[in-house]
Amino acid sequence: MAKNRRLHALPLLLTGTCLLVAGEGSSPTARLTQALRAQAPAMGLGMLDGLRPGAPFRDRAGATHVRYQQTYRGVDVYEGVLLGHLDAAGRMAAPDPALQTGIDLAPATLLPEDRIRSIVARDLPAEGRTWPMACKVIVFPTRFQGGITWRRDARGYLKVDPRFSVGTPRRPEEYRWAYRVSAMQAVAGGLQATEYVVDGLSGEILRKWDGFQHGSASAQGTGYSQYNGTVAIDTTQEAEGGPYSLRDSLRATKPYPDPQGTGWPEWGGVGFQTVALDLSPLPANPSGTLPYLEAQNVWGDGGRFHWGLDDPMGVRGETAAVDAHFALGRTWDYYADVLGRTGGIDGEGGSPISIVHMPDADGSAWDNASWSPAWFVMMYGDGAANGSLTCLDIAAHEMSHGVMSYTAGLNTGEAQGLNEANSDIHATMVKFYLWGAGGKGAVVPDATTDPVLPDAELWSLGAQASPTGTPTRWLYRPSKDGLSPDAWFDGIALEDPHFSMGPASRAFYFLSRGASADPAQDTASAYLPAGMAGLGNDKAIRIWYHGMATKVADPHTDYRGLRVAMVAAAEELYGAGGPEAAAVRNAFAAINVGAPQGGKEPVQVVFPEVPHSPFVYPKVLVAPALEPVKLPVPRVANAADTGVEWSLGGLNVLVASGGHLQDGWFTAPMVSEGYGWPVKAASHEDPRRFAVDMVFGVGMDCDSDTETDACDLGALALANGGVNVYPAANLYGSARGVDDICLELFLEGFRNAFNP
Amino acid sequence: MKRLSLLLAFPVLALVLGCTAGNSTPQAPAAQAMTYTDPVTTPSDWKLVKDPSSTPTRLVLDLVGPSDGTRYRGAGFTLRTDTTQVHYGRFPDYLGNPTAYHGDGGVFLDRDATGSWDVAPRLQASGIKGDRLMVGIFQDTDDQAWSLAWGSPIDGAKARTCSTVVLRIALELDASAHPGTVALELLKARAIPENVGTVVDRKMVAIPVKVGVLDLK
Repeated sequence: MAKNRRLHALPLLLTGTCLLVAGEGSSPTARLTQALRAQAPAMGLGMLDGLRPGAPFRDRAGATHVRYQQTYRGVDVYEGVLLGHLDAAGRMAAPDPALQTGIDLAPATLLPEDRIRSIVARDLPAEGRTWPMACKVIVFPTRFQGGITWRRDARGYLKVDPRFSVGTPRRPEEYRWAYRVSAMQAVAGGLQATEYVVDGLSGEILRKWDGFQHGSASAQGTGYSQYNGTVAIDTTQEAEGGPYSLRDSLRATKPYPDPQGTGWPEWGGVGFQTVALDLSPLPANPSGTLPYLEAQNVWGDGGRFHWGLDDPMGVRGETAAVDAHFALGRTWDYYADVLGRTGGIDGEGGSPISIVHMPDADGSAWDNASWSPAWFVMMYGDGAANGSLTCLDIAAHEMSHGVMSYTAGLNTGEAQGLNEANSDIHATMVKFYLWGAGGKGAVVPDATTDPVLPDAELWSLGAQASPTGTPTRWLYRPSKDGLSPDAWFDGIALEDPHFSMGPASRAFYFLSRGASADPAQDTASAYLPAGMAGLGNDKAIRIWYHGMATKVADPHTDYRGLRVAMVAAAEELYGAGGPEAAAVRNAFAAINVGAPQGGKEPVQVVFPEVPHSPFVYPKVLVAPALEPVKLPVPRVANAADTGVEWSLGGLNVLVASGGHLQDGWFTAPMVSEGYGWPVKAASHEDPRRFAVDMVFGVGMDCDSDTETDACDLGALALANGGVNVYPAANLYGSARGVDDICLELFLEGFRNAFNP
Repeated sequence: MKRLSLLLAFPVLALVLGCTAGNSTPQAPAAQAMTYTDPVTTPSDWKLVKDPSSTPTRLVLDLVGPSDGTRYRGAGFTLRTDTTQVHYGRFPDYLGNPTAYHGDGGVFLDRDATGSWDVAPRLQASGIKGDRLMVGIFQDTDDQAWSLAWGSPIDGAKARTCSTVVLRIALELDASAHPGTVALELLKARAIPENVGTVVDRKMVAIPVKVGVLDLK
């Protein structure tokens, strides 16, 4: 059987000179596609593989970039992507592939879709209403199968997150026919979108993950917004003489793309729309939303909407809708006029939907906002501690998640944090663009004039929605929130992406504004003590967007990969060896990623992956309680002294008591639940450089005879048989049954403790 | 005190013998082979019996369940032996790498008869710590849940009779081993009965595994 390979580097055949793409008269995409198909064998693709082009993106230099979805027998291949390029003269440049090669799957009769839906429905928590689910057949590389995820619980401890965890032994096959299913459900905490991959033959759930990325006839109407004053908003008169709706068909020129194929919402049309949620029972309103209609095309009253007091469809409800609608229009213009992305989120003018007044499932106000790539929708809550989360930077943040879905598509691990940072960065630029240039022109200014705001306020997120004006995040100094790191370290992916994003946001700040040489300043970096000069907003954002749109092919790109992409983008836009590329190197060096311009590679501490780790983050080590387990030895590069200093901690989580760390061996105490212990290994030579890993300690004495042995696995298997004979109290609390996640943890912990 | 005297006397005796022979200190002859005598059993016994694949230096022992038709959902045990004489041998894991301390006897299945439907996972674990070997194979029976979901139980997730080999372990002769009997001490053995969930005590059951005698020669 062919080996499972992911092609990241092309052979010389493609990386040498550029190829002139023939086919005069056809579209650039068609010519590029034709040329790439001719080169498919060199990229490891076979006769049954295909490449389906997405929307082309033409940059300011005239080059065209197209993101291709890999197919096999006409079916999409999970995480199979190819980024193709044509320069302004129509010559093909070396593409950036992230392809799945060696697929060898025979046609098969798959389980019917309704059975797949029932499997997913059974897996969803028995909570609120669910939306119709659509299934799509895909080819799934089994190396992405399974995986346990974690979260910081309400108390601050690292715990397993069963909502998005799959505990199942990895399959020996390299690829499987599977279904991709997108589920949406009302749950405690708001709406929850969950993405599933289900084996098409066995019905086994292979992977699942959070489907949300959080952030928290044309007419022009007048909107009285809460955050932006009185504004002009683009609306639509639904019929001659009829009411107006919050539908903007000037910018979005194609219908809702309906990625689920469900026809939702059935009243939709061309133009991005701002609507309210309607949780009335099915099938009274299958769309689950209600359009805003207004006879005079005058909307809202500028007052804050109070959840539970004000009518979401009334004038105060309209106010929040005005803010969301206005912000999306300004963000759309920023992408079009500054960055050349005229087609909005999908690059083709597809109409997204903004849903305001999203409640928590318990009926209270929802303190968040989100983008769902599977549903092509943005959602806004009205805030418990905050006002409606529809202010300019939050809305721009969510739309930028949408653009990310159709450009670099970053997800998983460090890439999730980079995705969040990308949204905050563009949101900040939108503020400069609107308040400094009136939302006009092709340049992002370096200061605002209306209103005039200090840098500290502009380079932060969410201040408008906060009653106290305190932002949620600070791009120039992420650690001001008390949770986010200011610099990269190996293991940063263990943090929530809204914290692991911090260094990337800070790097962009340095790239634009520079870094101070005064260590007392918030804008100074210990990794670049001499500081650096910035390029200004306009250059910085052009480099950033060009890098994301044209240089990042792999959805799992990490901080180091992003640095490579951004240096390449700067060199392409402004020339190799120039101050722009140097500034990129310095900005990343200032967050502990790579060497500064002209400097030497810094000391780097990196943990190896743990073979067979059942966690999504492949370095997590599972340790049975009371059994010493040897931690992976980190690799210390670029140092004469490769020794490390071990300590507990290193992440912004509570460290549970009782964990014992000595000389690279860890012993977990007997625990009543599974806990994650962060362990830190700092370089002896340069203690500023360190790596953090997680040891997950579990109690495995399932029959309570004070020993951990293979018979405990039997006790666990017995409990998992649905009879709850042994509740396995040491694993997940006394009143709960166990599932395959527990079995995976047991087997991994057993292997680590007892197989030398 | 008597033991201490003997220890003190031994170097002297060796020195005398060495001088007499005009040679280095002689060593006891190393054991060359393992012999295992199967235990005497009845049809209702669990037992560790010698596998035909055994060699003089690698003894493979099979865990075999009762032949009275009783059905189980898995079994495991913890064994202790003298690891200065013999050590626990490895078997290929499911990927073919020699990492496991047990071999699968094939009683418990992870696919149904068609080969395509997964039944509940077949759980296997083996490991050593000091002189102890811990090993077990169990079926994560989930037929009730599958039945609830789709209306029919999945064949293969059933309890199985264990009258054939459930699992194998191996003992390998150390080069420095000396002749004599090596203790094989079964510290713990448990099985999941078929009627788990309906029996009154609702527990894994202790299984008295009969163990034979290991001699080094």
